[in-house]
Amino acid sequence: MKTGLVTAQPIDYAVILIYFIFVLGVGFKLKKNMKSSDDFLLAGHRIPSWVTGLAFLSANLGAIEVMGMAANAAQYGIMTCHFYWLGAIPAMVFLAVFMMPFYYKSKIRSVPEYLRKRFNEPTRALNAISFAVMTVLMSGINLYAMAIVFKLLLGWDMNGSIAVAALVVLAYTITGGLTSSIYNEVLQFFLIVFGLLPVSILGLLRFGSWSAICDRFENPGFAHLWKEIGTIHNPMGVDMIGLIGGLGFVLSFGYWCTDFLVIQRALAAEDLRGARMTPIIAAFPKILFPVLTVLPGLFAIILIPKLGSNNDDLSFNMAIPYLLAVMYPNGLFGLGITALLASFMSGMAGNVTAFNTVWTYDIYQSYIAKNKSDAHYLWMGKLATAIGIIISVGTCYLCMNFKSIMDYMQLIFTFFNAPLFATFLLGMFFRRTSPWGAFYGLLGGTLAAVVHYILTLQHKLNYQSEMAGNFHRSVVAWTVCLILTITISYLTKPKAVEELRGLVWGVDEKGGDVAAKTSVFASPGFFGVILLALTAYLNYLFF
Amino acid sequence: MLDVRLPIGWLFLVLGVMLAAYGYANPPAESLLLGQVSLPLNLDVPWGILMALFGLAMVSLAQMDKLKVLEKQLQESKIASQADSSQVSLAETISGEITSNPSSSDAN
Repeated sequence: MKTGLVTAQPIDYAVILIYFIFVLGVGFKLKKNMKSSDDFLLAGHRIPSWVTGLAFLSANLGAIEVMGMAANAAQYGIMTCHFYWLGAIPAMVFLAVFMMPFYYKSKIRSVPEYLRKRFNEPTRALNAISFAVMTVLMSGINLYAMAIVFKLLLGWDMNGSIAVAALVVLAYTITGGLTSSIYNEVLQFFLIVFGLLPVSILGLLRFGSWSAICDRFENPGFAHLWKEIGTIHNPMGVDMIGLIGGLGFVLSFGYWCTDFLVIQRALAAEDLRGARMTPIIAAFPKILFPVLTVLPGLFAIILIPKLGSNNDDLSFNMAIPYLLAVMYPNGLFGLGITALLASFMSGMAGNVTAFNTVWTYDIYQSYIAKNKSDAHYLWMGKLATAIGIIISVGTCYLCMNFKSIMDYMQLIFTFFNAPLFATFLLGMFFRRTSPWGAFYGLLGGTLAAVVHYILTLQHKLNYQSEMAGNFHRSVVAWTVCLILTITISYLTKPKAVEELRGLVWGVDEKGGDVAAKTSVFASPGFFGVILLALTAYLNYLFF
Repeated sequence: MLDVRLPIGWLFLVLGVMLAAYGYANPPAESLLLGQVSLPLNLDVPWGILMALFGLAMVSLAQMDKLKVLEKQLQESKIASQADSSQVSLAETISGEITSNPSSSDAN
């Protein structure tokens, strides 16, 4: 075997092996609970909210999050924290306070199903198909990132590690379904914390204080969140419109409030309060996550000056794996790479479990085989899981042809999530939005993103960085969808108010709101205010 | 259904003990990036202990919840059996009254 950067000892392999045994064990232990398609695809609505909360967070903690954020930090400095404090927390609070009641109370099984109830079948079909395509494209990224890390660090054969990881994910998702995926996401959350925290602790011990770290930056802008945002001459090359409108509004709200991958975790909660608390519980650790991702990236750029050179071994994406290799003793190193492995596998499993639900309920049951027995849909759910994993392996090889996986991912979000957020915003909060208005608006928004991308490729539109282009593209897609939806809605017939009960803000359900009885201090809104205040304080602290 | 804290707890307990034992048996590694700071003991030891303690806490929490559920079930079954026995004694009293005074039922 070709050797990598590190010579792993038997203890490191033992840590990985034990992790595999536990992951597979969880799947097999849950197998007996998987009696219906509801158990398999929706976890039977019986998961406690602290579990769904951590799974909600972990579903977004795949390869891109862990390695990509550290890479961004090494490349752009502390401005990367905008992805957390501007690009996540406000959207998570908004989801919990305003949108989750509609998702949970309308008893939908998936996000496309909400679109069918609120609008019509074509809107649902458009969203279901684009979401299915998006999830399998995304899930391949995780496999690819894993294979490349293990090749560079340990010299493992890429095909071999892809096959092993895909088989393990297949084994635990096909036995335990969504529950197994959620349980492993929670397990992975703790592994990431324990596996990566020593990097931050050791780095802080090495430098002593934040100001000592700032003194070492070659670019002083690396230490500030907002100071250089007035112009595009900041490390990230983005302006105020791109940052606040693109990342802070369209992309973040589009992802956190409409992506079924994360919403599915909240819908698995045992009651409405649990579902609303899911994003809130996830947001508290999310605020602190830059300690595990951004901080190591900042250490990496100081301690490894050659980072970012064209050499594959020293690309920005390798910031965290490289730090694990040089900072950790054997044993702890095994734990660190197990944490990365867990994040890749659960990132993939999350995508596959969202894909199988949308495929089974929104495409197969709705258009291909209606009125079959539940056992049939359970069987189809399992088959979709296996096929999803096989397609992921295929898309993994497709990713290998792309230069930067981070840009590839943001690009996909601008096509699908950015216009979808406008559709949801209007659908939930504007009663007049008509079914056909939503359909053509969504289609038009997606096409606008495609046209914008083509113009950027042809250099007819120029941006300081790929990321700035993505932020602006998302604003364009969202705005086109919004304007088209409103215009067409006024030209076409809206749904009757009776049909909108429980789906639209201001159109109450019969029987009233049960959740209104809880105390103010236990409400998601109260925790939301605390979260926003904390976020504002952090923005001030690192201004 | 399986309590998620059990697999998490056991995994961290096993890994923690393993790391601590391995670290105890091996000298601290020369950490490249810490440079001048030399470590008095292998990092695996404190981190392994911390992990094992976390694992233990998770397992204990799961066990405590299990005990609470059992206690609740026991109490519920006690209340149910008490209610049964009081119903039985009430029925006995009523049937006793009927047999001692058959004329009242005959009157109807």
